[in-house]
Amino acid sequence: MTDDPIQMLRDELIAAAHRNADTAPAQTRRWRATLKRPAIIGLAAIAAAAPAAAALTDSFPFDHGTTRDGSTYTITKAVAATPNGSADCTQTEIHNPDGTLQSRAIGCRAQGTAPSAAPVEAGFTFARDQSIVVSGTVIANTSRVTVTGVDKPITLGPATDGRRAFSVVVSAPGATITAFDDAGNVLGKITLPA
Amino acid sequence: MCTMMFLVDRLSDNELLERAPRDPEAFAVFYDRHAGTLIGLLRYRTGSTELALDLAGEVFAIALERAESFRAIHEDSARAWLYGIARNKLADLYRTGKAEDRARRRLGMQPIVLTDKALDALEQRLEAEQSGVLAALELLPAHERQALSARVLDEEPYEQIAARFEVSESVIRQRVSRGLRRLRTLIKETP
Repeated sequence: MTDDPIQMLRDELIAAAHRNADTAPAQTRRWRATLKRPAIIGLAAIAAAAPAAAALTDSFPFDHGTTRDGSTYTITKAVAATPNGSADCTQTEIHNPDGTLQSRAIGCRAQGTAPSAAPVEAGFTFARDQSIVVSGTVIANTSRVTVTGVDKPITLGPATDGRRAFSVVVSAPGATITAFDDAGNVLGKITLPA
Repeated sequence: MCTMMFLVDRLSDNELLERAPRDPEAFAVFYDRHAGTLIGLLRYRTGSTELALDLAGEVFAIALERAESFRAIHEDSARAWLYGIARNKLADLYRTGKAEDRARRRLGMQPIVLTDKALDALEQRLEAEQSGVLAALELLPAHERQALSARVLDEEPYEQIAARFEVSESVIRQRVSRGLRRLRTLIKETP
């Protein structure tokens, strides 16, 4: 057990942050029910098979800088087209000191389809070894998540606590993550750009 | 496994705070970036390390609770937002004579019990950090140092600082932001 008060406070706060994150979906559902919005949240969806350059529009630089190892990072905000409008996306690119691309990651959050009420986030990272890491969080009422278009398609089970985090490494672009609600409705899907 | 999480510590403060309601790791990085400085500042304002830690706990708890409503307006929004909460809590302290703990109780946080040894260690650390910060501050370009001192230490409004230096408010925001970034780098480089 630590004797460092700043660390002790950190431990308490992070434990609270975990509890807070676990209860957030229920709060979100209540909030949305109050507003009586018709269709709700689904998955961040970048149009299937669309290349990244075409999928992400209205981009603008958000932040940039240099890390301690001399790499540079650029964070760009962008909008991705979805079946129900648009998704807010954040793209982060890191370049090595010699200018070569070290990694690229995109994360999105978007409006989805009724009748489900599940905010879903998904992201993908082009890792240093050129493999692609797909990760994300499917929140609330998600019955299952599938990842297809990869070497070994996977299906993740129900999100019993209202959240289902997933992370899977795929070897090539083209993977599609699809989230379903209890009734089998597609909450949304995200396809990796080629 | 390498996931998007490895990028979290490279995100801006605004990004971290926006992610915080769903991503405890993002909030942890945000805390790590600001806890030392904030506690140091609160200690400077209250003259008590114990009270400073108490207040900082409440400030971060409120930040966590309200992160969902945070909206970045400019590059320095997250830091300004956090210090805005701190200023309010300090005002409450001056008015009521005690540090609130309502947010911490709502979040189910346990009180931090400080032993004499832990308190001594924290005081020494804060004093060392404070002298390190002051030394690093001297290494900044004059215009950044002046803007940073006016904004962070003296809590002057941006508008007032801008008028004094006869530049626009956005220029002052940039100087404060760049100064903080440079200061952070300098402090990290200090052995």
